[in-house]
Amino acid sequence: MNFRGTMLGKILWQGVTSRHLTAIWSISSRSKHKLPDLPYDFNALEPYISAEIMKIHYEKHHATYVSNLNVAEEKLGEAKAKGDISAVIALAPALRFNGGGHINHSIFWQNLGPKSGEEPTDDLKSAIELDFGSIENLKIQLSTASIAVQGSGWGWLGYNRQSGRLQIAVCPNQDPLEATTGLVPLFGIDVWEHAYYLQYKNVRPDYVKAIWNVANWSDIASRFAKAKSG
Amino acid sequence: MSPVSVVTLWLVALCAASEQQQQQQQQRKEDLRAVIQPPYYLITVPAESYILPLLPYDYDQLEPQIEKSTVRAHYFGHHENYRKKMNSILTLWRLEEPDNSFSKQPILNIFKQLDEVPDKYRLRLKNNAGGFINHAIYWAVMSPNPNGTERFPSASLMKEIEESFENFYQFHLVFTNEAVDLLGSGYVWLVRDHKQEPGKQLSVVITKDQDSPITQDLDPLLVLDVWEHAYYLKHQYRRGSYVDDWWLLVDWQAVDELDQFWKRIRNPAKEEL
Repeated sequence: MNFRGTMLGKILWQGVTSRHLTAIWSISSRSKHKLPDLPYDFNALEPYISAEIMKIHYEKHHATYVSNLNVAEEKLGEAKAKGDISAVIALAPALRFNGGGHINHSIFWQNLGPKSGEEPTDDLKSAIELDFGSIENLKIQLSTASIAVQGSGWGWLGYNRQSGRLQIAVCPNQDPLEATTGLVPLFGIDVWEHAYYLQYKNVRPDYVKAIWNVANWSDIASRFAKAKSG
Repeated sequence: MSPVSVVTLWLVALCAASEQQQQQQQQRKEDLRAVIQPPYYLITVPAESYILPLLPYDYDQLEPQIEKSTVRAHYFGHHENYRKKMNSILTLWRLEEPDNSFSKQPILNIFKQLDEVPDKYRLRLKNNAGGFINHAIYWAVMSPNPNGTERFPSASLMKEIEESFENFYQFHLVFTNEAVDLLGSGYVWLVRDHKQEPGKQLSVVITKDQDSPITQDLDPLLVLDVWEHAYYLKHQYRRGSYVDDWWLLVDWQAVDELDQFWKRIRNPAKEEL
């Protein structure tokens, strides 16, 4: 086949058609991150977390982490292709921040759900009672740790694979729990001001207290089960 | 008198009256700033318990750039929280070490020598005294600008800015980009490094959370708070539009006064009586 019969030849000879564009676009978009679907409506967590906050948090903040992560990964690909180690390293903060933001928020939307009145049961309940004495005590400890975060960050209930125990940890900014501490994330409380300010203003303790009403214990339990078996 | 001259006289009188009113308002504003110390002044005074410094303007006077609800939440919520916690840490420390005269010095002195603070108090004091001081400076370098007129530094500061940044717009761009790009919570500062030679002393730096350039032996002249609480009620995720609004509030005379404040602290002998 001569050059004009090849794909490239056809593109250069005939000009780029929409079919070629679709092909090119789908190759590059295959590796692009996307905003995950929200499992409920924006108002589903009311009155504990307002619809206004949910909409902006999801459509603006999380979406920005996703698009900036895609940009950073594209630049990473270019830097690697050029063998530019310095440029690769310079991208680390953006990858950590936006990658972490995407990971954290993807977990967060699943961690939450409309108020169900459910409490942890079976294995998770036993583990909580073993490691914290009671569910109430877990709530107090995780709340205290989350409220005490200086600046922006997250409070986490995590699973320690090595010890097989539950543990509380906090991470600054968007540092993802597992990559930072090795703990498997089970339940996260976003204490960035954007997570609560429109409703609670500076009173972070009220927000942290309220969020327990919309904790999705079956999601937390399934993460726990997966972490234990994995 | 002809109708035309009556109308003319009436118009002239009206203009004179409104100009007089403007002058009175300007005078009132200057009187307030002349009568009360700038918000950062009290950090140089020893105290058993620090009060929240008076703002040089009313809570709604930074409108339309910063609305009343943000000023109130920021001042009575956040700044106040740092004040309370700083005070309780100082109280605990002083109770524990009643003979430690360093613990009774002005908070600025303590803040500049955090190594001398006992381990158990150091981090919390750094965060909360940092919050107390940072916010005092933040309030001090802003003033009402309801008409949204563009403001520029004084001639001498402008000259220095041009020496360090090529021109004012380059400085403005650098500062703005740092503000928009800052990941998480923190501040953007214009600082003077007295250790550098004249003409090379100004730079733009950022700090995370409630960290302060004061602990790096730098003198802050201008500060922008980019914690989300500073802008979320009005701008939500749009930090850039908050920064644009904030530039209109920068009071370059207050910046010069702050510059002089640090210079007086560093060279007390040169103070004119």
